[in-house]
Amino acid sequence: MNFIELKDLKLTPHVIQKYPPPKHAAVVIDNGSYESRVGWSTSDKPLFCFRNFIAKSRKERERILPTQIGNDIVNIEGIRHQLRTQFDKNVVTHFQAQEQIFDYIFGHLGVNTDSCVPHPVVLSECFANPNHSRQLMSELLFECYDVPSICYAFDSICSLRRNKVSKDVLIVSFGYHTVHVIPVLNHKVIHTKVRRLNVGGFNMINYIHRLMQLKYPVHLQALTLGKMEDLLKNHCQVSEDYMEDLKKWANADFYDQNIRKVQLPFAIQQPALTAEQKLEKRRELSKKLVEITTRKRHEKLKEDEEQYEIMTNIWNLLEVGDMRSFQQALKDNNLENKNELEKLMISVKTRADRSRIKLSQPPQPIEEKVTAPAAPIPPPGISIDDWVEEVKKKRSDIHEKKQFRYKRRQDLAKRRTAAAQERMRIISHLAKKEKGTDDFGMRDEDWDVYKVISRENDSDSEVENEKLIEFEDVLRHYDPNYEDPTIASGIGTAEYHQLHIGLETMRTPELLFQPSMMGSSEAGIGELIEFVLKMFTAEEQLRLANGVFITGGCGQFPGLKERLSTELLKMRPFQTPHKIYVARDPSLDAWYGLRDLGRRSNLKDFSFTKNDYYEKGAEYFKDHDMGNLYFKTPVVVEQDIRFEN
Amino acid sequence: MSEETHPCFKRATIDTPQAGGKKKVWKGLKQILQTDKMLPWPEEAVTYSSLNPPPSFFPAKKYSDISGLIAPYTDPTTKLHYHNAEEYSTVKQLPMDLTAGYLALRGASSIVG
Repeated sequence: MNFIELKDLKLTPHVIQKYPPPKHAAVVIDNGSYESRVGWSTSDKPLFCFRNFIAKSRKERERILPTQIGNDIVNIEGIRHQLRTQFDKNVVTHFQAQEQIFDYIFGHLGVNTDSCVPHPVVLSECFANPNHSRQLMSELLFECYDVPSICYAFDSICSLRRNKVSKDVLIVSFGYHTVHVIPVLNHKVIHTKVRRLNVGGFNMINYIHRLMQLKYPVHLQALTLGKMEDLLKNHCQVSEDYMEDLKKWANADFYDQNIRKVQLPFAIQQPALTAEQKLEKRRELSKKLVEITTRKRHEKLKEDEEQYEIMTNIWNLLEVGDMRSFQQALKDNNLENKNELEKLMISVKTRADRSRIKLSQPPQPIEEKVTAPAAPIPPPGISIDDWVEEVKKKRSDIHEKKQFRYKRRQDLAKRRTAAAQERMRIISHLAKKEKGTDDFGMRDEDWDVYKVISRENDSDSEVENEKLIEFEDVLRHYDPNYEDPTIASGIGTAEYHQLHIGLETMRTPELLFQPSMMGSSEAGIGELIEFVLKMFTAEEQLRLANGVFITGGCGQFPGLKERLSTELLKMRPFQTPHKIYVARDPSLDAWYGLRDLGRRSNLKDFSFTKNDYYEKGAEYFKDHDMGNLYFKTPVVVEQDIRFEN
Repeated sequence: MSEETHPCFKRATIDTPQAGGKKKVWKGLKQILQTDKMLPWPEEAVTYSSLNPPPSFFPAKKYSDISGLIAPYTDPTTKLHYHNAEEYSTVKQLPMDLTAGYLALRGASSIVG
């Protein structure tokens, strides 16, 4: 049995870096929709990485709390609903959020210069980033932070440059919202033949989250997004042959061997006592009571005996004739005269005698008043086994009826259900009857419609509840396998608070290969790679197939490389080779590549300055072999005509 | 934005209130793409929309909504796919919100009804 532990997302605040960095250092930011990775071009590794999140209270009056950004967010699971990101899919669209992220980045880099960030910026952007988005990004960086220059580059190409692959590469970049398939021939990106699959880590996390929620509706609170992300990151794998694995999982033994369990915290509940235990408890209690009374009797007897002895001594004084001592003794014991003494002596003696008799008898257990209820008697002319079967069936029938009514009640309570809408349809039909043609009530069946639309007749009937009790009584006596429903439900046991995670670990990453599983009509990765390859000549295809390069944070699933190999084997001509490379660090290589770009002495050949921005227009940017191509947004045709005139 | 959240290295903020005190509304990706689509891009231009993948040419495989296993059957009332008789008895007992949830997850929740 494999128990796994799922951890919630915990953020630790970053320290503010020392400033200034070495001269001419550029700020290097891999601005991904999942995570932002930041450092100087002189840094050995990213100085800090953080989820691109800001947490902002929605309501005006809650605004007392400042907006929390990145890793400064405390209790991230508690405020999931407040989290905002600057991204829409893989494109930055919300620039107010991006501004706050930049504040966080430059602030944590320790920048303290006045009214400017005097460092070139190397920033990643997505493939075919819309001009509108890039323009606003440049505007933000130049106008608000007064940076000297900007260089935009692709994360996946930068990652490729960090790894030694051949000059012809087919990059498959697995991101948080998208997967890009990027053909590169002779180190040149073939921009027109790049394709993007709109499925990524984000979809997978939400998919597995919802799957688990639907599987365990009772543990809704425990299934946090952070835990599901941990599950996806550390326990999921890509299946090499999905159909084959499905067959394996359908086997009960395989299931038992491979199932992974998560134990949720729970409070141990005392199991309800069985009838026998109750009886035992009562017996113990009565035994204790008997002991107490015996002890009390012993004490009383001892007291009485002592008193009797004293009185005999006084009586002896009388017999001896010592009247003075006798009178004195009477007085000491609060007695009036000889008669009283005699009376008392007799009463004490009888009392002591009675106690002695009682004690000499064995303790009588308190009579068991509650006898077990008489076993129900089977009806004549039927064997007990048959009878039990019959009762069982009747019982499950009632349960089913109850279940059905419960479901109907729940459905009727909601508006958008078939049951509720059917009811509304009947009601409106009843009300619609035109004047004069109304013959409602002529037939007795007409009135049945009220039974259909009534909500009240759905309550469980008393008769049925009584029958149920009766049946359960019968089963308790005659069915050895009978389990009390209150015990059988298992609430409060460790098992009840366990999550079983089986096929889900393969089902979720399979979304990449079969987006139809989440209702998307797009081609899966295998199909998409084939589609991209088909756009090339046979010779180019062979070159590309021998340099398939996996990168991106979501490219780290175990089995992904093997699966891609299977897919390539399927699509490629018989007996043609293919080769798959995986980035050394699929998540961070993009940042390292960007940093290498920032270290280049000719960085300015890849960058554009604030002057360019003013002279060539806000959407202008320097295009180069590691980034997007510059296509000027076309001006609307009408204006062109006017210009020609 | 208040003074204390304004770091020294900043020259300005784009978060300036618009005329009439309205907050600036940022275009979503859909809107941006919609605007881009209306424009007469040159033939060779690569746009965000031009990178979209082709639709899948394979029929979507049927998997059980509950277990994810191969599903040869569909429950006619709930429209849920299921693997075997045992799963069917579970399907029958599922409350409305769960069946709807499973359908939505598969992107099969119908707009009608």
